[in-house]
Amino acid sequence: MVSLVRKLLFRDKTRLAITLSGTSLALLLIFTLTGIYLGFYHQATAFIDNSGADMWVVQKGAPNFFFAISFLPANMSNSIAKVSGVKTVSPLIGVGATAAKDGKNQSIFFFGYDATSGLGGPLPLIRGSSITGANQTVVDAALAARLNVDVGDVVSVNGNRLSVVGVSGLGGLLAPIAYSNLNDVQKIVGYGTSVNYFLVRVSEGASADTVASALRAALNGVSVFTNSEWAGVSRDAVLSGTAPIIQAMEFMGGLTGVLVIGLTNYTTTVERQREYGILKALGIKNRDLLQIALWQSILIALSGFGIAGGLTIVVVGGLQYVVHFPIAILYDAGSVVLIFASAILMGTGAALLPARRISRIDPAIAFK
Amino acid sequence: MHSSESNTSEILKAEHLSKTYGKGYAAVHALKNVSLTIHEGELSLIAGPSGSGKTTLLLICGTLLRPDEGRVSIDNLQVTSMNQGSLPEVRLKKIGFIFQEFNLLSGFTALENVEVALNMNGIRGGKAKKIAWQAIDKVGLHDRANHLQEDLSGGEKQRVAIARAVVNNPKLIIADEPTANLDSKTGSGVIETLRDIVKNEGKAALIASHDVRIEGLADSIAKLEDGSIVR
Repeated sequence: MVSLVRKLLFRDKTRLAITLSGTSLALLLIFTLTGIYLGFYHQATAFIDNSGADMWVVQKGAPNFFFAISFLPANMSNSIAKVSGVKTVSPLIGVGATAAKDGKNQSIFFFGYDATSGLGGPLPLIRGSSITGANQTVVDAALAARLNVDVGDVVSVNGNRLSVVGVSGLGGLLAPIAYSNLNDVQKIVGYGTSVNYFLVRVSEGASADTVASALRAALNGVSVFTNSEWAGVSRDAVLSGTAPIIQAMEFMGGLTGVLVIGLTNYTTTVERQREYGILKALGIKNRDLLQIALWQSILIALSGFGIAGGLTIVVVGGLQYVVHFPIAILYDAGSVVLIFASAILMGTGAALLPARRISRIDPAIAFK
Repeated sequence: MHSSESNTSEILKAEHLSKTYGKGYAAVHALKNVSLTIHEGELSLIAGPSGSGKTTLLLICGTLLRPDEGRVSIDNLQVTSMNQGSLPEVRLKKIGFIFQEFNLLSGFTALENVEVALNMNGIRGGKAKKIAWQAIDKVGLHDRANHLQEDLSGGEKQRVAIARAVVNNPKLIIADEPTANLDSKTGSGVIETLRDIVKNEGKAALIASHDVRIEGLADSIAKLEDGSIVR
């Protein structure tokens, strides 16, 4: 039966090409959106995940990293350091700013961190070196691309000239990131003696939960999160707004695929109902004809999956290296398996459209 | 499948078949109490004008239509009482069909059109190809086997249809106006080929046709008029 399916599929190559194009584009949409979603998921908290902190001390009531402001007095670090189990305390400022070069302006997240401890510093560097002194900055790849700056250039942040010493990986979801040492940032953004967060490392052998409880008991007006808790609430805050949109678009992509395959199958069935009737007259069972329709749909969907996979490599490459898309587009084995399963489901769903028509074809049509 | 004891040489036995289309004033009595029997090696012709009931008789004998009354046995198998789901297998294994319009699959070669019938019967791959070649050979189309059906002449197409009809070795061949779209010489050749197969392989053929040239090649002739056999 497989050869019959293949023959029926390939005998009208134009129709097959149109169907494959539609299916591949639908699956390409699913592939791309899935990659963006996964990139979004990881990049949303890449900065927190790579902060090196065991826990975050934030102003009480600040629910997450993105949609809340946390202000803490800089001298609170002494109180934190005295709590049993605390190994190091590093202040962190994270604030919106404007970076500029050669007349081009770009809104950024500007982080001031303790360059000595390194907590809250840049993600792994792509090129250049870490900050070692004043008036230096590390920019992430997105900012480097948008302002066309590189190691050795000078960039202006809120009107202050900083030398670019390094370029880091993507870490900003809502805006590109620049990093400088804490003192520079305090001066540039006018924070005086305030900071936004304290990043805490716990001593070896100390329990993070125990230290967190001790910090809550010792300090007033703060909330304490473990690094993974802070990443979790921050990720949820971002994804709760965007995930449904991406999922809805993926669903629409899937539905488009089902309709493209299904309608093509259906119109093919209508056009060829005489041939199906002849096969029925010759003795083919309804079940076998339905299997033919099913296999045709699944073969189209799987071919579309293969083509879409190849196109995805091209599209993702274009987005990342030509357009400098600000979000990493990522895939893992689970997501590819899920898209493969979606393709099978798409093919199966599409076979349902012509199924009823096929089962009702009268074999006596062969005598007319 | 149900079988009943009867004369083994009877390939087709139709008894008291009646069929009416529509109801009331619009009712058309397509068949009225028609009976016929065809034996092994027999080529039987159903003659009659358009609308006389020939196609209805073929449809019923081919298990594609249920009679209102009467019954049909094919190769000792009582088919009129069988459920609808079992009939495709009867058609696949017991009956070979030849149509006026040839009804070959477009985009398929002559050989592939024959192979399809074997595939439907569960025979695939090299074995199917070998048997299909033999059937194509039998109808004298060895040199045209790999040509698309669209590239074949009418006579060649009908020969492919014969090969397809007999490739699963059915006992009964049902042919509807098999020479209607062929010229005189080609039509005679097609019928002679069919007759040879029927005689040599112990099959029976029921042919509906207007074509008077076939009458000389038929073993028996039944003439239908207004749904009844008149001779």
